Amino acid sequence: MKLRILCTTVFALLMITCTTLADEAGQQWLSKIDDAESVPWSIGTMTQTITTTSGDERTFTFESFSADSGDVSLMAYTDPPRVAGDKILMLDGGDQVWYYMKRRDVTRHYAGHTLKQSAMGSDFSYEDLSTGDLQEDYTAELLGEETLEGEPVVKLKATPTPDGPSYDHLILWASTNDHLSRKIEYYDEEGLEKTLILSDFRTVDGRKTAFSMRMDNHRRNSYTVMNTIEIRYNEEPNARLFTKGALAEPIE
Amino acid sequence: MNQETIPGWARGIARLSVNRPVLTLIVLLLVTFAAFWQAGTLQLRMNFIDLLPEHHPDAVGYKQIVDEYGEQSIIVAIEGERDDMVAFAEEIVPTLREMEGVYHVEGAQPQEYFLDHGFMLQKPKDFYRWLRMYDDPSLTGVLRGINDDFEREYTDNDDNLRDDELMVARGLLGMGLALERLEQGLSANNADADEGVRALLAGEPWMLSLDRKMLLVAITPKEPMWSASEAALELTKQVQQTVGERAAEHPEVKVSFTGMGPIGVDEMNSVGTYTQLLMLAAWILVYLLLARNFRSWGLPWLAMLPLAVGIIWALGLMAIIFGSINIMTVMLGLVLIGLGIDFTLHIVTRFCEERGAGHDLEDALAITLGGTGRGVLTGGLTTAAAFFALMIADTRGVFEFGFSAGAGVLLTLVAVFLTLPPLLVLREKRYTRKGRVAPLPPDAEEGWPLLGSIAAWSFKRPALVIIVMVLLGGACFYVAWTGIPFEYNFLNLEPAGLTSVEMQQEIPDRFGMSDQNGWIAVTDIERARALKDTLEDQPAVGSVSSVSDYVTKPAWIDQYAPQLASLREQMASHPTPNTETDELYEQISRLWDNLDAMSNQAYMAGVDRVWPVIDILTGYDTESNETDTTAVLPSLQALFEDEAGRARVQDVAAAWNASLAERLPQMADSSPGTLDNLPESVRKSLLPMDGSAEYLLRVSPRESIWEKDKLDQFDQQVEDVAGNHLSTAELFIVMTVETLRDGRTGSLLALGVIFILLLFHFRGAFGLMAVIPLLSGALLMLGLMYITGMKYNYINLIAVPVILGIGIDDGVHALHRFRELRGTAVERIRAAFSRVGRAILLTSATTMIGFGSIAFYTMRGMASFGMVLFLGVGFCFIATVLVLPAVVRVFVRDRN
Repeated sequence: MKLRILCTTVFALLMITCTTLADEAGQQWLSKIDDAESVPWSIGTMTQTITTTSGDERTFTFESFSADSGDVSLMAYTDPPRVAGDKILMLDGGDQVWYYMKRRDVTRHYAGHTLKQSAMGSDFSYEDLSTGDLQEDYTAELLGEETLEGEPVVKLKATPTPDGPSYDHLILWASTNDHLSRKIEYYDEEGLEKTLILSDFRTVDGRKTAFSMRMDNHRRNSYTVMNTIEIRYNEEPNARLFTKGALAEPIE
Repeated sequence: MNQETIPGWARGIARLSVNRPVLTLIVLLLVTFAAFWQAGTLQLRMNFIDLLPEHHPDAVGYKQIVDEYGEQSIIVAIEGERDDMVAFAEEIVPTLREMEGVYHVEGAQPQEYFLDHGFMLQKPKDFYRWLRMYDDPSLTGVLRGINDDFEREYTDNDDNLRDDELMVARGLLGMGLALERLEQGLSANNADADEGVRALLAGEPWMLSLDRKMLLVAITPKEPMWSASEAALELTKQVQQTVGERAAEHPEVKVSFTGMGPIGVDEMNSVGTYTQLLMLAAWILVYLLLARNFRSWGLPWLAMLPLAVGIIWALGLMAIIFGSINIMTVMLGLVLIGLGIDFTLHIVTRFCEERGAGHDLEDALAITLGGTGRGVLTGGLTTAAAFFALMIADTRGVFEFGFSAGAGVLLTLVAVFLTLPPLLVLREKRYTRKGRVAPLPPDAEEGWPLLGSIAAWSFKRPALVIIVMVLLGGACFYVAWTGIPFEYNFLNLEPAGLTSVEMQQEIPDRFGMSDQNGWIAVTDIERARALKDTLEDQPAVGSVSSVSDYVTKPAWIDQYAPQLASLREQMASHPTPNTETDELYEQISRLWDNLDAMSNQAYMAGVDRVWPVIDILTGYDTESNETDTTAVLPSLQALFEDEAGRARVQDVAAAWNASLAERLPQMADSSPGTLDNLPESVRKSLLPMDGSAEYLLRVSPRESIWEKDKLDQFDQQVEDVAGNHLSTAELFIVMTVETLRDGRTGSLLALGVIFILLLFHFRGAFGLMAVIPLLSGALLMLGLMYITGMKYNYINLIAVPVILGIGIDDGVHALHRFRELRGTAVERIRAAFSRVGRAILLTSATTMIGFGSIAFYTMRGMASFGMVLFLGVGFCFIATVLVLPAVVRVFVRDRN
């Protein structure tokens, strides 16, 4: 009997130790990913192709600007004409969102609950698009190491902090070589909701960047692909761009 | 042929024909008159249900649903401006309701019922939205409430737009009408404010397309269309005539018809007329071909007359057994022209040969019937057997075709064997009376040497011929098995350009849902409510009509009543406002902003039933990126910026306020909607005719479900939610799948029967060689189908066993003649193909004329049947001449 109690205690202690070590390792990996993915600023042009449940495709082009290591960002649509001139401004790491509609010259502030909803019809939500501080938003647990599409990766379970995003948890795969995310699964209370695949990595201004991001929405059976046409990290965008007052102004 | 080997029946017919030709013909003529009279009673039934297996659960369920609830099988589509369409619909709907044979006409929705019980019919979520939206019963207040609601629910949330898509779209159609009436009031001060208020609160009453340019009126006949009875078809024609006559007086609208009724009538029109024209054309072509071959204008008549007799007998028999002809048996006449002429051709050709060889009349006839006649008999029996094999089919259409064609071939054989000999005798006697000798076809004795040479060439090079054929046949088999797709879309088999067919595609595009419903019947109204809620969340579902939409859930009555009492109190205590023009203008401007934001959200998210409706209101055009200033919202804005318009605001708003002050409390009444107070239109649309406690859910697909992948998607989603359900489109798939199975089984059975008959006829395995060119021809036919991009469909599949039955004849005749002849094998091959080759070429040509004429049907499914048979007969002939001699070389030892 005593032997059984001893064995159980040793096993429990071992498990606790392993879990703690895994948690620490997870946090370390989260920090590495944050360092690899966080950029001080960027200016780029992207396309967003939405494939709806019925198989219809719509492609939009926009210019993107970010600063303060992703804390502020702006998407300015340039095509098709229907939405050309419309802009989405995200501040405070995506906590504040404004939408400017050029046709009616109206600026709307989106309520907090909007952030977890789809951004302009795509399969990305506003909080997916905001590139906040991973370590601030999640705690991570290392689930293991494996190979994904020939790339050695770590597999992490990221659980949002109380003030973090609305998901229940994420499963994230990041390269052990460059520490960049390769795949993220988004789970809510009902299970797997979306999957993000990052691919076509290229080096621009010394930074390795995913030029293609595909988000599959498993509930709607739709997906959105965002392709980067061009991006640069060597020029800081004008700070005025990230103000509500500048939304109605043309981008210089 | 040795005189001793002539069978007794052949000699008997020959003797009777020579000694009693007139009497024989008179008796046959009397029988033919009786059959002709009987054939006159045949009815053409183009209903697809007739083609389904009678006891298939889907067919049984479909008939049951349609018998209980009726089917909206006649759809009147009116195109024009909204008010013109509505005026026309209001004119025709009462007339249509009065027509005998009409059970129900669905026109305007029961708006008054909705205005009486509106709040009590809402689900809790929508109920509380309404409480907030309509707390101020003034025009400005209601618009403010709507704007607040849009901003809470939709302007920044495409998920909600997607979830509520149809409700939003139909609500916006009502808002469009309301804004139009407001704009008309401000511009001329003469609009019906109450109509605007009703539209704003209860939506657009008529079934309008999303572009507001088409309006549908749906008619449910008393007699279900599946019965395809005279009454059902007659009603369709009457509706078309009545509405058409009224439309002629209203050039501002354009009217067209769709639904299974009008499609059925269009099919009848295209098939009925064409059948007569094509038969005439086939007769003329066959006659000309025969005249050219026999170098005679008279002899072809003798060949064709027995055929006509056989066809009349066959139609008479069909009238007795089935009473009607269906989409497959309607082609029987053409099939028999193509096939039956072969019988007469072989006999006439051989008779002429024997007369040319110096035999007297009786001997020539006896030799002809006992020799070639036996080949004809075997060929005819194999063809009939192949057709009879189709009777194994579960599908009624294929079964009827199998029986009718099999019996038709047998009757034609009998007609030819009994009618042709006395006719040939009378012809000879006529010449004899004039002291002349009946002329014979110039090539009667020597046949056609070219075909003999080709056959001899093949005989001498068996390895080359067989290797080439194996390679070619293998390639054809591969592409036939893997590369020829199946046409499941029923509409693609219909005549091209038919409005009733094209509308089937246009309606889903313009309305965001199809007029072809799936049906689910349940016995519990709350089950119906739950199913509707879940079904409407399915992406492939366009909308769901359920009686639960009109009946308050008991649990809501106590929950809603106190809230509505206080809402009514709040409304009553609200002072009648003095409308502030700028405040009203602000709300209209805000409405435009909100609608534009929703429109962009919907456009980007692919919520395609919402943004086109909004764009009509705002005047924005995606293609040109410009705004039409005559659209209702820009026009309203212009009026508010115009002195005269502003001057009318107070009066117009007062009229709207008065109506709202009456309508909103009425709508907030706490009396529930119940089954007892349902409007008649709802009752007739969703409750059983016999008054039993069952409830029907009509599930409209979002897109046209004639495409199989769309149907599969729709079926799967509905089945996941509700289990088994039925739809017309699904029944077509059942029919196609069943026909595919029947075609496959029929082909195998036909092959089996052919094997047995060949073994029996040739008293050994000798005749089985004829199967090789038959299969080669069938494979080449499939290869050409692949090359020309043809698809399998439920009609042309039946061509495969038919080809097996027909194509075997060529080989049978050639082998028969080969065995009769003497000499070296190569000499026998050359002689057999020279003599019989001419006949089989001619018979193949006439059969191809018969089947080829079917290819000219405007109905594409039937045309493909004719085309496949045309190719099949052609390739079987080619394979017989080219491949059979090589096969004979391999399997037959040269006796010399």
